[in-house]
Amino acid sequence: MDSELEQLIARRERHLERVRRILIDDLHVRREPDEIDPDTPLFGTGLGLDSVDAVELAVSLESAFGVRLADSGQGRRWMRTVNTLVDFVLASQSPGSARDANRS
Amino acid sequence: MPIEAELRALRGAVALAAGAHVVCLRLSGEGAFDALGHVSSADLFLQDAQMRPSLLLHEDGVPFADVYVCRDDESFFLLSEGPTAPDLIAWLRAHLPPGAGAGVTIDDLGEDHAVLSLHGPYAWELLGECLGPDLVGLPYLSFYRVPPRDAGEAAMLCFRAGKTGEYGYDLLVDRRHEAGLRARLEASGRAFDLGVASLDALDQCALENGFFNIRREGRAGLTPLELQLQWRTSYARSYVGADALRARRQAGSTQRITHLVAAEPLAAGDAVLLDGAPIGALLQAGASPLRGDWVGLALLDRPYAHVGVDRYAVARGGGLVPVRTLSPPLLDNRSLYVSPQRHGYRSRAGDAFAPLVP
Repeated sequence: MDSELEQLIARRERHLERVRRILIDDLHVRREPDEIDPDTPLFGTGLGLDSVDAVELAVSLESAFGVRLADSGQGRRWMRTVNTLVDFVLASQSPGSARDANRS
Repeated sequence: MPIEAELRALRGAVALAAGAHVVCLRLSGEGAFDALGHVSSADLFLQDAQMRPSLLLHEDGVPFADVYVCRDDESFFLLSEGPTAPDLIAWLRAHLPPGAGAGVTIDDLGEDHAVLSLHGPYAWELLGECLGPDLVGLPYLSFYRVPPRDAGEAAMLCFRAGKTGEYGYDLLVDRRHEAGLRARLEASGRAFDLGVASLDALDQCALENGFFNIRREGRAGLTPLELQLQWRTSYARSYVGADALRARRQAGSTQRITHLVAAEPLAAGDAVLLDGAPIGALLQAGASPLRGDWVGLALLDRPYAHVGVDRYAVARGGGLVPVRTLSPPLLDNRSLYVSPQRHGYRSRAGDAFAPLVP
């Protein structure tokens, strides 16, 4: 693995860890960090978050990463799994907007 | 119907599917809760009429069945994919705890019931028109007894679940009334451009949306740690396969499934490479007509099992197919935006939704 790929993956892992901590510390998900897989669904199945948690999650993300999830439908597609949240954060921090997220 | 037409109906309107791949059991008796707790990998804190996805594991931690556990007062329905009904009943009988097992009655509802499924962003609307408005607001992961229309009809059960990323409902109906129900759904369905969905189409949707498929990756000998299914497990309880999971977790899992896409065909078994060196292999793959590319699920060595990477390639026919790893769902499902309070199939032309592919 070259250093460019190593950095890309290391950055993603750091963000995954921060999102896991938010879920555990702020949303009170009763799991250890290593039990929360990147593709774990957030709502319904998965971690079982609800609409109140969604508001708390948006606040925590803004506080931790300085990024704001839209209240409109666009925010929903980012709130599906731990990985999609990280996609959103990374896309929002990139020079482009969240629309350019590396998902398509 | 070609699979592309099936997928378009399912992703854009409504599709009807036969549920012959779903086994439905009813566990009743005083020991039913304890018995299920002894075999279910997920905790079963369920209120009446609630459902929960779980797994039944072999002793080595590999999934045996992909199940929904549904609480019906003091009894439970088990909607299962994977084993046949006789195999599932035999497995349960072999693994129920001696004390609880004797007091548990297991009925195979498939002997006199069939499953019909509706999937799609407007499935709720067709269901409501056909079987009553109470079903429109049925919460995800719950079920409802649909009262009979007349004395000659039996009640049916409607489970809201699905593994496509769209609104999904499984109807458990007495076999004597299956043809009649199908005819009613098809007649009402004309106004919804009702399509059909084969098991291949359902499997393709599950792949695109990141739902576990016991018939595909579930047959690869992997545990929930590699399958990203730890959310369906508990490390605090004892159940069949739990010790193996704890041991695997302690030792550290070395691989993990990861979704990817490519512009060219992919196939299960293809090797995934980084700079010519193998880092994993494809467990399944399929064309995605709605995305306009190929989607796959790879088992990658843990250090490489991350999304957002476009440096990997798949070895195919002596050449290399570039791939990009992505987070599922790989589609922005219309059902995420369609609301029974605000939308309807007949008025959809006036609605603006996000594109299916972001």
